[in-house]
Amino acid sequence: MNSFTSSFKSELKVVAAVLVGLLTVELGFGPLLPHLSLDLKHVLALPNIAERLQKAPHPRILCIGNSLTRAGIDPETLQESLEEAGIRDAGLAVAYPDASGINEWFFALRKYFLDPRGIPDLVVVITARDHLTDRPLALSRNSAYYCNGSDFRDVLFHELGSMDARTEFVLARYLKSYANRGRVQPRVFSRMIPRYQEFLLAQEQGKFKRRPEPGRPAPPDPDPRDPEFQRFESLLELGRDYGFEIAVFTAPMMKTYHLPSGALELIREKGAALVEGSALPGIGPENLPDGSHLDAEGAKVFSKRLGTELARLLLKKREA
Amino acid sequence: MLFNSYVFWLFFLAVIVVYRLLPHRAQNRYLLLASYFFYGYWDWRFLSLILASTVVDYFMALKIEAAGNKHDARKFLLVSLVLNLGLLGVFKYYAFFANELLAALQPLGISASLPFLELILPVGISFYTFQTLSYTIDVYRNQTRPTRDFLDFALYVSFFPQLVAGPIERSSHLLPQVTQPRDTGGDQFRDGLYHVLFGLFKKIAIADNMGLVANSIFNTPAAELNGLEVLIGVYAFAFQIYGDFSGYSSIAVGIGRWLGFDLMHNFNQPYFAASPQEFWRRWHISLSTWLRDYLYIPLGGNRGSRIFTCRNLLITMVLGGLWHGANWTFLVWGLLHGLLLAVPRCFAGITPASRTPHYTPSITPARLLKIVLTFHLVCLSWLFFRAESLEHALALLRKLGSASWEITSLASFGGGMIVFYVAPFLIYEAWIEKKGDLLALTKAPWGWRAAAYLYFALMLFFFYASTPNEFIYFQF
Repeated sequence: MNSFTSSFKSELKVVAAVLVGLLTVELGFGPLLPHLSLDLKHVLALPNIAERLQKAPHPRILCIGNSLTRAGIDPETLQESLEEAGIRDAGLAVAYPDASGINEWFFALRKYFLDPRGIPDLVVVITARDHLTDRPLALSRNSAYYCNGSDFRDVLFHELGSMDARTEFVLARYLKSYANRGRVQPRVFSRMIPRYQEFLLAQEQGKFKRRPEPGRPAPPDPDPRDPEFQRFESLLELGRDYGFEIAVFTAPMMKTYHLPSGALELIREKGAALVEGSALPGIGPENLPDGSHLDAEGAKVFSKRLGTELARLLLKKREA
Repeated sequence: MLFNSYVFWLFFLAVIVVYRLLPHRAQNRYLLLASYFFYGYWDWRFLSLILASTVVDYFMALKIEAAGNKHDARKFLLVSLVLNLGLLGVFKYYAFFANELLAALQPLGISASLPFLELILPVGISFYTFQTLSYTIDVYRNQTRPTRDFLDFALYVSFFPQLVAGPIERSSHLLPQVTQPRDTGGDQFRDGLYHVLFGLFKKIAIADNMGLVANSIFNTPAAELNGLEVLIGVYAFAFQIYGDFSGYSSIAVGIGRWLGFDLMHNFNQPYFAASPQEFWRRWHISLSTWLRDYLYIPLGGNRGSRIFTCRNLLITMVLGGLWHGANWTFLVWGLLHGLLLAVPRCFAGITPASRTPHYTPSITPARLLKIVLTFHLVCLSWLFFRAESLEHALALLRKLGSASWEITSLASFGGGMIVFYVAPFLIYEAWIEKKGDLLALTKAPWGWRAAAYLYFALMLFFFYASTPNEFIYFQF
């Protein structure tokens, strides 16, 4: 046993040097964050976006979504469209963290946008087919950026089942470098490896997922259960609790689609509005250069339609 | 509970804090409990198998020693062999051989039905059955004395650092470390830290990222790939399996050191081998020496004609292939290695193993050429090992021989990943090879060590794979 202790003491300076190195990385990470990705810059700006919305005149409209929203909304066109339809001087905010879904939207809404001093009048959830479905929590990003204190404790003690998940969730909460470590590799590789982005796109489209050789039967569906929508239901209930309207707007994709029946039922049950935007006249495949994100022309068409529909909802509410 | 999970390290922290406060006998009991907890964490039902194996081999070893003659001793050895190989056969090979038998009978018009057993393969069964088998065989051969302390023997069988993926320890090496007070001397903490950090680096940074490349390529139907992509896929898999398995072994050795145990090294820069024979002295050393001592030599080894030696090599390697799993791809992998070992012996009369230098640190151009050639022969065998089926492997081989070698985005990604992850790793391994000491870094000035550890830590932290894989060898 003695050799362990003496060895530990003699190796202490190596361990200390490594810890100092890691601490330096952690301290140096803060200023680096906004430069790591445009998405992170946007996420870090969410408190400011929320503050601007709080100070804006009524009706206050918050559009929340992901990169489909970033590409699909042209704020000027949306504002013009609202005005043309009779909603003047609306306060408008758009939040669109990349690769986000119902988990991030729910927590972001609670953390940034439900301050009693300026709750939105209308929250517009812009989604594709599967973004409302319950999915495993992206631990690091939700812990670091989306969960408020009480959500953090709730998730930690009641939602996460494994010790590994809990550890990751806690580390990401308190270490900036840990929370954002997944952003470093793509940043480095996109500079170092030729055609890296092209590979990522193909990977995202499922090109390298296991497929049977031609003529072989496809493997069985690994998870044939019906999708669930508990988080979406919680989000819809936030509208009731805080007194704002919710509208779900489906984003255009290459193929026309409908939301899953479970989500549609909930929308009806909770009295939210649904606007089908998945197949809009004036938007064709040429407006979706990568198959899912709108180009500038498509964004104008989409935003115009969004403005018209939102104005209709708001006017209807005003009349009521 | 995987070595690359937080839960394992929380478990280990709880183990080592208490462990260091206990006297030797209590340490053994505590380690046994911890080992059963570790194994039962996967599935508590598996504990019954390891217990059965432990009880039978403990008593059979005592019976073998007590037997008055070889004939009686052999009967007790047979019980141990039947139980251990029977367990392995039922859990690992039954479904495969039953299906193959039914498929072979069908063209003959014979329709048979065999009982269908849906069995989960218990984690690490191939490792601990081989470990306990070596004990009873060694007792039978009078190479080891049986222990009378059942709990000590149970710890030898189930010692958690090496329980599920080796190294497969011999009783002559591990058992005395269990029964006698441990202080292996040297720098336990320093050596353990090195092994653990380097092991985690090999698993998380090298293997999991190479797995990403290899999976992208092996998951794509062969018809959609070109030759360059297949080649990159095979290279990636070669480093995935090396990083994965040697990473696990390193961590096992490291935490063993922290507990005062000296486990054997399972890998010795295998991709610097200059011949298939040398490769097998550097790759999965605990299995290759096990197969040599308990299969190849009892078969006759190289004591007969060349043809006889070749036969023994082929049998040994084919069975070594099947040890990995019940699949034709593993069998062909073993056969290929058997041929790589046997053919030079049969036709060229290559120097026997005993006279080949074990270690050749100086790298001459001729040796470099042999290293490259050996690496590619090994890679050829990995293609069969990784492929889904023999047809898949042959389709990929055809692609390798095709004229289409365009640099696609997949090839560019795979090549870039290999350069980023594997090149520095190979440079480091070349340095170890030159030094001729697996622990060379621990003897370097502390500043160099700190810099290397910081590199490992930053790679683990920022350059982990987005989709980590389980340890490949757990399935064996």
